[in-house]
Amino acid sequence: MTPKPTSVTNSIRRLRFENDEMTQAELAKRIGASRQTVIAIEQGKYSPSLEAAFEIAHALGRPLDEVFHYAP
Amino acid sequence: MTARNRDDVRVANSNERGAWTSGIVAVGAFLFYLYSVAPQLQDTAPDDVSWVPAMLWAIGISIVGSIVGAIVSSIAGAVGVTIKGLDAEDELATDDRDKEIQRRARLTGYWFYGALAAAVMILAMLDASTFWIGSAAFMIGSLATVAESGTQIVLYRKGM
Repeated sequence: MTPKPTSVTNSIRRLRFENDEMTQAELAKRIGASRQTVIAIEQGKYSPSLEAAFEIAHALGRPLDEVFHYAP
Repeated sequence: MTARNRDDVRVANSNERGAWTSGIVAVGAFLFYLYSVAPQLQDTAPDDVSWVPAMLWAIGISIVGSIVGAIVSSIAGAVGVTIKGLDAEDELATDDRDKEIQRRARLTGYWFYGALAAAVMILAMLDASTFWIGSAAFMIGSLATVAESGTQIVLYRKGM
């Protein structure tokens, strides 16, 4: 079974660094997810729900479209 | 190890470990069953094969194996996380992603359960020996478990 490639990319890693070097564990705590999920999202292996995406953007202090990008 | 260095350290949580355990136990139980009944087929008609005790043992092994496997994998998970200097509570927690992975894996399993029902029905229509009906059901049920576990592991490792 080959996972469907996602057309959604993100800048979470860069934005974490710009946010006082926020760790994956800190971001995970803020959005109520596991660190493994944050890793999967950063690596494009998992697309979060819309609500989780907004929570990530809020935690990083950026608008949603600065965090997630869609390239069909 | 600093918090920054811990970024990207991958840890299998309880669900992923559970998938490995149930897949391995299902294969082990089926191989035990096969090892118990296959030699009998060389000189015994299918109707006379003593398959029920072997299957009950195999089912017992899979139940006990699942319980022991869950305990061992929980301990191994906690020890592994501690060795890596990570917070066990954070690392082994599950969330919506785990639920989605489980949901998709179950859908894979449903295909096999559908095949199981069809196979049993067809064998019964053909008036097959109860040995073949029972064995086919057990084999496809084991395959369903392996398919579910495999799907979960692939989704955890390759993404979805």
